[in-house]
Amino acid sequence: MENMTPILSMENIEKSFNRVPVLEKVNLTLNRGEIVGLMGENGAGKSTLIKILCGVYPKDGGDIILDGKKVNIKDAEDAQKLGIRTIYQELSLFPTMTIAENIFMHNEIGYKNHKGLIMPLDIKGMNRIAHKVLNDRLSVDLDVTRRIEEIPLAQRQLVEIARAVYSDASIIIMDEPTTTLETKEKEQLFKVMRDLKAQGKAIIFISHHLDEVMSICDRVVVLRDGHNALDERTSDINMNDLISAMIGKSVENQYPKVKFELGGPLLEIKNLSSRKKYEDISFTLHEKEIIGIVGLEGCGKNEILRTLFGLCPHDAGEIVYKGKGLRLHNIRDAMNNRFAFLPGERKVEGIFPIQSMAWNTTIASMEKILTNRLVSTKKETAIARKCVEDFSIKVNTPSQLISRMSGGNQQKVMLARWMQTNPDILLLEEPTRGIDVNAKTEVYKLITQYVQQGKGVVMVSSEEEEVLGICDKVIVVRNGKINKVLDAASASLEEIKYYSVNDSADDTEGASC
Amino acid sequence: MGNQVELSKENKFAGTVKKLLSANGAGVVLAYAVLVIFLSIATPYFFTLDNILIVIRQAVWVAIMGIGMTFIIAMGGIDLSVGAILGICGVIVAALIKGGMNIYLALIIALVAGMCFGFINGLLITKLRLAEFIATLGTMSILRGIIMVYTQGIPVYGLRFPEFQFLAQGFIGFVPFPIIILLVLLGIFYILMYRTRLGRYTLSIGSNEDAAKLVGINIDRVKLTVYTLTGLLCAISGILLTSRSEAAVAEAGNGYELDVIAATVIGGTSMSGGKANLVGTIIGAILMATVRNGLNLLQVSPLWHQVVIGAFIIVAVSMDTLSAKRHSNQ
Repeated sequence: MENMTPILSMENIEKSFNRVPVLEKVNLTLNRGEIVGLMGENGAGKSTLIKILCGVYPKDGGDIILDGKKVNIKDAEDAQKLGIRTIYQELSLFPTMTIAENIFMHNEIGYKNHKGLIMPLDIKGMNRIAHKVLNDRLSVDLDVTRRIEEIPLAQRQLVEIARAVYSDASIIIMDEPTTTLETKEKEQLFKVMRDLKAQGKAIIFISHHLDEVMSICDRVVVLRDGHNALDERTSDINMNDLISAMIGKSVENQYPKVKFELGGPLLEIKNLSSRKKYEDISFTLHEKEIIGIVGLEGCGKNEILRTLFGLCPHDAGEIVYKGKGLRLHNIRDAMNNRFAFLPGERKVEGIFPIQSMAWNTTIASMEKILTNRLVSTKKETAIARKCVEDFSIKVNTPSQLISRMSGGNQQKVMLARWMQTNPDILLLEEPTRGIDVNAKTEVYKLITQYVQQGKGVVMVSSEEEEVLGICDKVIVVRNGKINKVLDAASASLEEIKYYSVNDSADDTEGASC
Repeated sequence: MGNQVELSKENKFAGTVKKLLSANGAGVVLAYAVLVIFLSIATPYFFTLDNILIVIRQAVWVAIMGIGMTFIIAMGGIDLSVGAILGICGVIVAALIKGGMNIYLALIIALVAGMCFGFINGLLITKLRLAEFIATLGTMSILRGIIMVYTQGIPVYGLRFPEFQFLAQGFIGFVPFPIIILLVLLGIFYILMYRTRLGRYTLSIGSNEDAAKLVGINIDRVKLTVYTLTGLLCAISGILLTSRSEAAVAEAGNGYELDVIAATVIGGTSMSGGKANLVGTIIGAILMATVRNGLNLLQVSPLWHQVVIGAFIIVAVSMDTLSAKRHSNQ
């Protein structure tokens, strides 16, 4: 296999937007039965490269050679005909349609070989084949007549993959497929990827997660500022090589954790319960402390956090804040007590996409930009500019649309927005989801600076590594209950993974995870 | 990131020009310019002060309600009941005055009634969680029905009271009084939209309601306020229309909701919410009145008016969407 012609070879690809080069002589080759990791910081050019391959953007220069033949990919349909399929970060499934209908979308089978827009559909046949594809090629057993909105996120991804496999794609591009997955689901995805690889498919795997790329990929290609920065077999390099290739300099420490002397108790949670979501949750957050809550998807960790922001009612237990009992019925209760909350789904619940960076920065603290009850653009811009400086946000002007900023910078704007409310307690949901290595470190620094002033942070994260790197205490939640409390300084990744899945009462058995 | 900074320097001038051309509502200004030039050549009377004032006066009802509609559409909603609220407020003020009530008191009652109808829309949307389209479709039908039941289809006429006539027929200097009312309202609501929390929160809800909730915005309160204010604006329009015709007709304002929505969208306010162009809405309303005026001056058969107006709406809005598409494609 090694010596065959590569199935795909992109040579000297060039692309500019408004005469600004985004890709300069970029190369990417892909062999049959190979998984190649494509990495790079936001703005490095990886999505542009992929969009050229998928026919979304035309290329300015260079060649795309498929199976030894030069091809011209004009649009997305061309790309699909050539066997190139992309599985996007934002899943492109139709939620109200069934699994089978989604797999056969734009590929429907007509009853008795009818064709055209008004053909009668062979629904039974399609259901049968859909089930077979999932079963034989992906080794999963799903009821294909269920609607997409009824099945968990991880399974939806499998449906997307099944769609690609069914359409006989030879090249499958996965754009950050693991962002929303839990450990177990990731394992399943990786298994599917290995199966596909064994079937001779070629996969381009885009991810911000170094460990995943190292473990699943055969080779990794790193882009930096529109150039090839690295192209090596994963067996020949280590994670630090990857990071330095991505950011162009070597890094010492991704987690700028400073262990502060903890202050007095800030927030005491006593036997908090919410029907069917979580029960009997107790912990204490001290000044200058960062607590991480981890666990599998659906274990109740997000609901616990959201209860503290008045978003999710609790029906038993007590929340004691600075020595006083607290009722948190709604968001305003929480905000009046100086709680701040950054939601995990930044695009859905965080940003106002068609508004400016300044608008997004000041929206939670409008009293600061009012003069005589009227909005003062001067004050607004001044605050936004100060935030740009304090949070090292990269933006042309504060009037730039936030949707035109990178994920990392959007997240910094979110932090800046809530810092304007002078919160005493910061509640974070997936604080670094979908942002690049450099930006992650900067966000960690900002969080650390914040707790230094005697504040407290509670965060929920599905990235165990970051929880260990940045938190003081890690609470592992399993089935709505606190399963184990770990000291972040001495705990290991394996311990977190273990307690996410196994009951701590069974500790003595020491079963493997 | 570095790329973006470079880009902004290099293309600053070109960028400004492009921005102006692709700004919300650039299409409507262009369409309006073409229309005015055409009509000025086609009929000499068109471009006289008299006629211009007539056109604007005809646009006033739609323009005033359009101010409210701009808030609602910018908030991601829609209000189909504006024409019906206009109608019923007109009937209320006419009936009260005719019944011998003090004119000013009658005006206040009609205004309050308008606010109440708007408030009811707001309650249906925020408390019963009805979709805006359905809630206001329902109130539209109910209010229209009440008008018919009350008037039995017979106009309430004979409102020949100088103070009342002045509202729509009077002049201050050479400027018709309703135009002054429109300008004052535009000024107030312009400040509300762009310089107050209410405006910010309205636009925030329109651009991302989930995020708006999570920054502590009381969404129900903002929606109630906006629908109530729109009800008030409809009442003002209703009073002006009644004063103009010196009678309240059962069909008054019938179908105005579509004109108001069209004026708002032609003016560059996006149906998907989050963006508002109040001045554009006024221009949109004037544009539609100009088309009607032009058709009259050109002595086009009234049977053809709807066809031309419909075509104009499509042309004006597509100019905007086309320029927006060009803008986002780069």
